[in-house]
Amino acid sequence: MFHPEVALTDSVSNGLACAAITRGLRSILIFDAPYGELEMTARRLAQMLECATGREVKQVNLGSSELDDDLWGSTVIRYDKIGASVVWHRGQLANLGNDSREDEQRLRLVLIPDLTRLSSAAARACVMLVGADVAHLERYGQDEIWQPDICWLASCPRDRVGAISPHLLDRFTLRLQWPGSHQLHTVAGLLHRLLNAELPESTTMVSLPSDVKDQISRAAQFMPTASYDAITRVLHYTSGSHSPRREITLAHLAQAIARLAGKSQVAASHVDSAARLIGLVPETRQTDEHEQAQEGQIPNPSTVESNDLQIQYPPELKAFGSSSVAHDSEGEPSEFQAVPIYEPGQMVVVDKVLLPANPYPEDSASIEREFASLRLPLFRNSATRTGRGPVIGVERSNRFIDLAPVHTLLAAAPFQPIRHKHRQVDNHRLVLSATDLRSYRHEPVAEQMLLLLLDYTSMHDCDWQRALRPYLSWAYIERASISIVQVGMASAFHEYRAQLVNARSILVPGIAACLGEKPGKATPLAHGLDLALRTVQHALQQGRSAIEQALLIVISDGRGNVPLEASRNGNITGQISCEGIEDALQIAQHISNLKDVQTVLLNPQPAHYSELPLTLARTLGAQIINIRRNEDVVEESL
Amino acid sequence: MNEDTDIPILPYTCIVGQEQLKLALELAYIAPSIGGVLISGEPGTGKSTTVRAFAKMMYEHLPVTIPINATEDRVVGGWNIDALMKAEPMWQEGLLEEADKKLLYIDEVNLLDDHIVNIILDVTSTGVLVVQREGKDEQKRIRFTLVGTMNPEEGGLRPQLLDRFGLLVQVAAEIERENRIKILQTVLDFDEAIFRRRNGQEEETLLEAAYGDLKRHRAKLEEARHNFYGVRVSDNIAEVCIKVTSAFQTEGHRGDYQMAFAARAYAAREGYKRVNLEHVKKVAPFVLQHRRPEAKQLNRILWTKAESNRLEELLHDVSS
Repeated sequence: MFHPEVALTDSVSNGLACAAITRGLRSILIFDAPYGELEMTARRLAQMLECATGREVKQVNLGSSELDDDLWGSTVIRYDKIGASVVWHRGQLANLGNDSREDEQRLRLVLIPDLTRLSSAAARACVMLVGADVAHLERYGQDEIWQPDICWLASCPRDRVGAISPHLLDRFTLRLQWPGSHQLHTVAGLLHRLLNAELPESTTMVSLPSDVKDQISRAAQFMPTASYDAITRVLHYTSGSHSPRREITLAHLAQAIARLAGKSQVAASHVDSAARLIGLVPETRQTDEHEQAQEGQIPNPSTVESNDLQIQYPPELKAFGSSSVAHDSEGEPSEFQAVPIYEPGQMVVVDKVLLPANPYPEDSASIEREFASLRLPLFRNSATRTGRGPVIGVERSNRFIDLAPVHTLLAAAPFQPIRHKHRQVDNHRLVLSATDLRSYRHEPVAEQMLLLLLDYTSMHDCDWQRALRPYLSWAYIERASISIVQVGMASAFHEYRAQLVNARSILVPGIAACLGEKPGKATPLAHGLDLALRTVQHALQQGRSAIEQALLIVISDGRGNVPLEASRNGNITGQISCEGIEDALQIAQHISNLKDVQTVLLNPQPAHYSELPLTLARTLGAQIINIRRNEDVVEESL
Repeated sequence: MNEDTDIPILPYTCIVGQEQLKLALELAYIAPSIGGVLISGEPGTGKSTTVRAFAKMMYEHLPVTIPINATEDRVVGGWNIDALMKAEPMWQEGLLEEADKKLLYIDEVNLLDDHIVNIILDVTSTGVLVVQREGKDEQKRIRFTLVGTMNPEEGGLRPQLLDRFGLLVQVAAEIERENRIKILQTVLDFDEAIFRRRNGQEEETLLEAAYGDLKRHRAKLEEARHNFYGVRVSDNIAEVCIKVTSAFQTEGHRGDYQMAFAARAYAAREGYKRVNLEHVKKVAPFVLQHRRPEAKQLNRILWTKAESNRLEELLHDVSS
């Protein structure tokens, strides 16, 4: 029984088949693929690769926890008849070439379910290996150079692409959109997924139809030449202002489509098909659409239905297995019948097919990552860094603190025979030297925290930026983590509620955007203080990476006008008097009871109710610093 | 090191465009005293391919490379583990020693572990590799041409390391339509050549044609290297180098003589017996751009049309 889904007729299946026969396309990024489906997709790709290369495929999964030693290899102790010996154990991504004939024949398929959650070591390894002509391994006495032979399949949510290094993203040349992801929030989409979830795994195993296997095997046997028209057509879709890899990918994809169609030459129409497959529109059209979209005439091309585009598909882009995958084992059509989107044999105008979205969303995505995110993290405070933060590796050490025992023993093991020989000691005794010591290398964690509560409704008419600057500098110097509680923001999700933004450091670009928000109408100060209280409590008390000290900076005139209950319920019932202020003061009292929290209130010196910020500061136990009014600044400058 | 001859690399003479990058690599080969080349640019522009192709052409094998996964023992050397297990001390030389009198390539140099960067800095500043580890204590004189590639989006380099690179090249994607077409054509032709080779077919037209070009180009650069010290740098040219570096406020004196070396190498490459102002003009941006105070403060390298105009005016003033 085949997986009852429109699986082999969509752009993903076609893209995978192209990647299977083209080495230059074997770094695939699929946007918005559901995790379970991605695993199935990997198996399908593995079958295609086996058809194309005649080699067995070994799947490797990469996630958020892999370290350098897992990926590249490390020394291990092996016991055999002679005794214990130290041998090199290859990592998941290391060269397989010298291990055995069997391994040498294998092709690896690396699956990365969520590129946004990839560990730092794995991301750096990907930058080294994905799409590379040459790879080097220079670790622990190993010295290897080889040509990587790995197919990469990754996924990530389209709207989180800003969290990934563009350097890493650029390595993933073939971009595909998961079909039907626009239906994820629809009833049909939900029912579809529920039905699939109930099927036992054995029934959802995908087996490629034999005609598809034959087609891939045949396509892998020859290489069509590209016509001049085809090459120049590639430039219609690219501006040249981005990575040249995009142009090369489009050319490779067009070539793969021609190969699958059994053509001896790549034509311009193959380039059009390739562009269509990944969602590229001609550069001139992109410009036109951009201009028209600005004038409100047409929606984004990623959501427009193509019935008005008059797109003509060449007959070569055959929908694999379109007739067979839609039937179950009894031969009855299943509920989710495959609908071929390409009709072979004739030029057709395709109706009601959604255009895949822009394959390069990183060009316009907001930046959510830290600056230089692929670099090894620097230590933030050398005096107290040991034993904190997740382990990201090991390093040489000259102290008996936070020792990595296994790595220390492994470092000492090769020297044992020679030490026993020279020191005339019992062969069974372990002889350790200072040079063997290894300690854990931890990901640095912030030991200080800057928590800002910004009441945007009180920040007009005062020079708050100047008042805030020293604290931002402090956060930068101390490499403090930063959280911002946004109160009374015009673009808040809910008018009566405050919002919280967390970031690892002040260098995250989103922090600057938070500071520039416009004021709204309501001031849910009590809710903001409540968020601040919970945030600082969590940071001080939870987990082994808890911070040591928090600095809470409040910019507010104290005029909260939304009671805490109203913020929690999302609506206001009845008359409101001063409950918003009273609730705020009550929570402020709780904050003042916290240890290791230093609080400063930057007073915007409101013209009315000027005592309110002072009362809030007293309740918080905060130091008061007055912010200069803009009129004072103007007078001084005059 | 393992055999690298089976790894296909696009022949150097087939690389389309990137003339500045190629020129900088060639200058550093002709005059090893230049110290090295830092190549900074967006991904996918052929930085690594060009370096590897250049090394293949000049040294007949891939460059000695420090990858970002390198551990200290491979960089400075360490005991061979297999031999140690047999109670035999056998030293395995590190990559720095292996690169002696050759090209040492660091891919993604700005992603390299700080600890490894410090070791390289020590060696490049003194020309001496000091090994003091695991009972070994020795010093060796070594000299190599350091070539690094980096993507500036992932952060800059520390000023000390930046200064070790004699020349800096900023690489951008080719925007000329004709060049873009040629690049695509070359990539597809190369793929086809490799495909044919793997399938036992003989038609390696691209590779066969490139072989002769490579031989000629290599001979030209070897001759230029041989003639380098025969090229005269007049007092006037030396003075121009000093004036230019002063005008651009480069830090230290390294820029003065790097510019003179580079101009002399350029003259040798072009077959001249004396360095002239045109030669200085050609190489000055390579030397100046990463040594200006703005580059260090902004943590990015800037060389725009304005800087080119300023350089031209300076040289014009000097010549008149």
